[in-house]
Amino acid sequence: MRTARVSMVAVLLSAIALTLLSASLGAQVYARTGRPPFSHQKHEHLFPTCTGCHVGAVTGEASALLPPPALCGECHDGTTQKRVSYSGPAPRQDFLTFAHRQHASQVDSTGRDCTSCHATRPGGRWMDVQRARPESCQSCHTHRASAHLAPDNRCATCHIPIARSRTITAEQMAGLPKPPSHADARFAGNHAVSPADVQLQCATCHTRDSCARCHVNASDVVAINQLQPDARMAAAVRGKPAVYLTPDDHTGERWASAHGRLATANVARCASCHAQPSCTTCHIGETGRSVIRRLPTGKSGAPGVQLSLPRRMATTASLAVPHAPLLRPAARGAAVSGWGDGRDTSRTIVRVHPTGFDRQHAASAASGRLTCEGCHTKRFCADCHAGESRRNFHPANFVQRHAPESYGRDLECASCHNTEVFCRSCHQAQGIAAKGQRAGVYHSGQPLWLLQHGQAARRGLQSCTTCHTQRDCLQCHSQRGWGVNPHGPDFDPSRLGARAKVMCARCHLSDPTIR
Amino acid sequence: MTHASRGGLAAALLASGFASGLAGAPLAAQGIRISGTTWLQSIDLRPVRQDSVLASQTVASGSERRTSDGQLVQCPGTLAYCYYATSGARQTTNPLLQDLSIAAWGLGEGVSAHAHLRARASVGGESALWPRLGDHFDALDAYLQVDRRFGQARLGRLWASNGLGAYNYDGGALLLRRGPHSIEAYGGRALVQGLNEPYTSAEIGAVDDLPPEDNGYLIGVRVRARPSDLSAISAVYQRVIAADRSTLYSERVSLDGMTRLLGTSLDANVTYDMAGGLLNEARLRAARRLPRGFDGAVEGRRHRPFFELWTIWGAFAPVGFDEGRAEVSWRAPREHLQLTAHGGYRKYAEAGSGLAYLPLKADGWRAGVDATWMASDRVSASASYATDIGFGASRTDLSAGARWTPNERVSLGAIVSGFQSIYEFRVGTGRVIGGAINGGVRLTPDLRVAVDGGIYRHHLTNDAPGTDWSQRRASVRLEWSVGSDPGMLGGRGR
Repeated sequence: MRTARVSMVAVLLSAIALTLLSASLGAQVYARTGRPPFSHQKHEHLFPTCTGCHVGAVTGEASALLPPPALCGECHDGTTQKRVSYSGPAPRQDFLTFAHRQHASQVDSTGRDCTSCHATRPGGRWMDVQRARPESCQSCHTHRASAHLAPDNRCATCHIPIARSRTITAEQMAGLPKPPSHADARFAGNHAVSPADVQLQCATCHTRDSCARCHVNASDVVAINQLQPDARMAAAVRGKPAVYLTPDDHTGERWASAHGRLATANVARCASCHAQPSCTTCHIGETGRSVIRRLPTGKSGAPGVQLSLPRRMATTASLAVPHAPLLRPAARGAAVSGWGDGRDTSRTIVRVHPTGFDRQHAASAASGRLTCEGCHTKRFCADCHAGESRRNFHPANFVQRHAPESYGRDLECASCHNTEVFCRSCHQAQGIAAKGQRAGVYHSGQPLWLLQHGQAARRGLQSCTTCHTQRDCLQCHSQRGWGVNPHGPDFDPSRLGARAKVMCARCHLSDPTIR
Repeated sequence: MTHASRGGLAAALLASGFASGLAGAPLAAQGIRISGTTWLQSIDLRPVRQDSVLASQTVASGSERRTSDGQLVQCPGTLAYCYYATSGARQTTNPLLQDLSIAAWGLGEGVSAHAHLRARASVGGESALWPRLGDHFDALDAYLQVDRRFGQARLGRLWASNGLGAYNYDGGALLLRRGPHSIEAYGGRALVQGLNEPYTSAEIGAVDDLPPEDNGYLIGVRVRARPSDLSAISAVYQRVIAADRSTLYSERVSLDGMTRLLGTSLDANVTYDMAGGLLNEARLRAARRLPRGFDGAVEGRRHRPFFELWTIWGAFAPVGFDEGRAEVSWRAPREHLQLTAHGGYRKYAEAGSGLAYLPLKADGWRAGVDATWMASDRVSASASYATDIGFGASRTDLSAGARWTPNERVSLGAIVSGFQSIYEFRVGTGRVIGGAINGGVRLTPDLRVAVDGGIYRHHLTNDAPGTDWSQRRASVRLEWSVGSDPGMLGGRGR
């Protein structure tokens, strides 16, 4: 007895499942092919008119648009014909403003009939029909749209705003077709529309949640606020990454220097994609702060272009990062293959400075070309130029190998180091500089050094002074010493004497500028 | 009280005043932020010392001789002894450096206070081996600032960073701006460049036997203009005069500019010593992006050293050189690989000294290649080879390193390097091979610890003076910040 009950329940559940499955399959077939699961062609000899079954197309009764099950059951009663699983019309999608009743009179007056919209092909067989396609609508409606999803179409002619639909699901929202225009490279920068157009076009497929997926300042944009929020759309776009295409002007060579002025003039445009962290990645100083503060704050996980500086990839010098001029996207899986128009730049590495900038920045810093204070505090300069920096400007083990740099003046050592105190005190402490001696050990391997040292001193005097004091030289090169003239052929005593007579008195017993 | 002690007192008073100002600042300031870096190093080396041997124990005659074991010695004149350099006992120095950076803002519209202080100490070992460990306190800058749309005024110990370099001084600066153009005048008591001390500082006197006798006053004017988005130009006039106005220490101008023409970036700078009537530096560089991921740059440069007039060096008529440089680099399309090759050649001016039949090398050149490989977001590696052949010293070196950054907080790197030096003025060839590791971890957003250590071994390869430059080095660095967050978090840690 118990077994029999279980079997009955199982059969019942199976029947329900099959019914639901068949209905679901039917809906899927309808959606995929545009053809109703009911085979009209099998019944083409039975029904001479459409309105026999679809009387609602004329009366406007939604419940009568499809025939009631009883009508089918007149034949499919299990005796005459096998029974069919048809439980009556499903709730109709309310996404369209179209109503058959409104078109019924036109059908009568223009001679058109149901096949004008529903025939599979012109001149086809009777009842070879399908779901009406958007193109069918456009064959009559004169809004000059080139295609159903073309940007010149007026969506509101046939559609209601999607947020007002009560039948569409989150899954269906997520699967709505994307107009080709939206994939265009320039769409990101040019898709702003008038508030009127928002309702006529955008609202057909978008809710406020659609825009907030990417727009950092969605809550501040009037056009976006005209859209209704919708929980189904919020669910549909949840987890879907924001996509930011690079506007054309961002890729120009002037952008680095011009973006501040443009941002000041129209920060709202920036706020579409950028929150404050975009700016403060570079602008850690004062410059631009008043403009930056007008951007959204940018909470963690919120949308917005994520800018970052290159990782410190060098193993020694912190500044020796191979910088490119500006703006390159970070790799984000397969979604990013390069940069430029049409490429997602949601995560972008900002490379402000060119290659070798750590050694070549003098002109930039001095001229104000990059407004260093915009990103760097004054202390940033002192970090390096104060000589005992915590920054590792020089390559590894530079302390042992800096002699060629000193002679060749690849960089000006005095920019950061005081020759007398920094260099000489170290050389003295190490025993390299032999203070006060004419016969030091440093040049011990140069047999004729005394005869050659003049040439060396003229060419590398800065290096000489890292060990030698002034008196080392004055022992010979002064009137107080051996009187050996150290001046070169183009030496102008009167010029220097007029400006620094004290210097002359170091060597000369009398004023050398008086002849 | 000496000039130097007066200078130190002034700095201390300035810092004290600033600190006391800060003590009251919370009452009014919107925020104060203090950042510090504590850096403890340990360096182990063998200093050079001079030794002697009886002349009778040497071989050959003349001023250059050898001992019986091959040691090169110098035998001056008729002395009974010959001298040579050798390595002394191994010594260690442990310098401790503490930097403190303070900023207080919101004291009024555009009003802020800033200071960068530095303290040094030796925590063991031989303190003389590290520069300036006897100078325990430095105020690199400490100033009040009022910043408005039309200009900026600063007062205190300030930096003047411009085409002539970075100088600090005790005084004031007033900057007026109109759009992208500005003019700034500054002046005050001059501090020696790179030293942060007055001209009469005892630190100069300790290493130079003819130090300046009087302090200096610095005045300067800088004009900046930006004719277009792609062009900028700056001119600076700066003069340092002795406090008693008896002599000039320096009088210089510089002109710096950048522009971009037809896709080529040009930058140039000129510095001129008005006191000596000499062109110190003239440089023009052109850089351009080339097809297929290449970048190229060429540069022409004329260099002649500059010396302040409190020294006699400018009267020794130093000569300079002309140099041409070129660089080309290539980046893979996804930028995971970058290669750079660079080279330069310099030719020195006629020295006008010495004997014609004993010429020294009058030119020099350098070349090298660098490679950087980003294996992934976490792993990168770099390698470089360079050679620099000059008239005073030459070197060829090779280095390679790798860095692992598992996340934003942690990094670990290692580098090996080796170089060979050829000292023209100190005959001898040696090789130094070594390696170092470094790592860092950010424990909290406001606290980071970094450590590094390295060993370098010196191998003499011929008759170089018998000095052993093998060294061991290690350091630990603590970087921290406390106080308010000014809302600019993006650059923290850079």
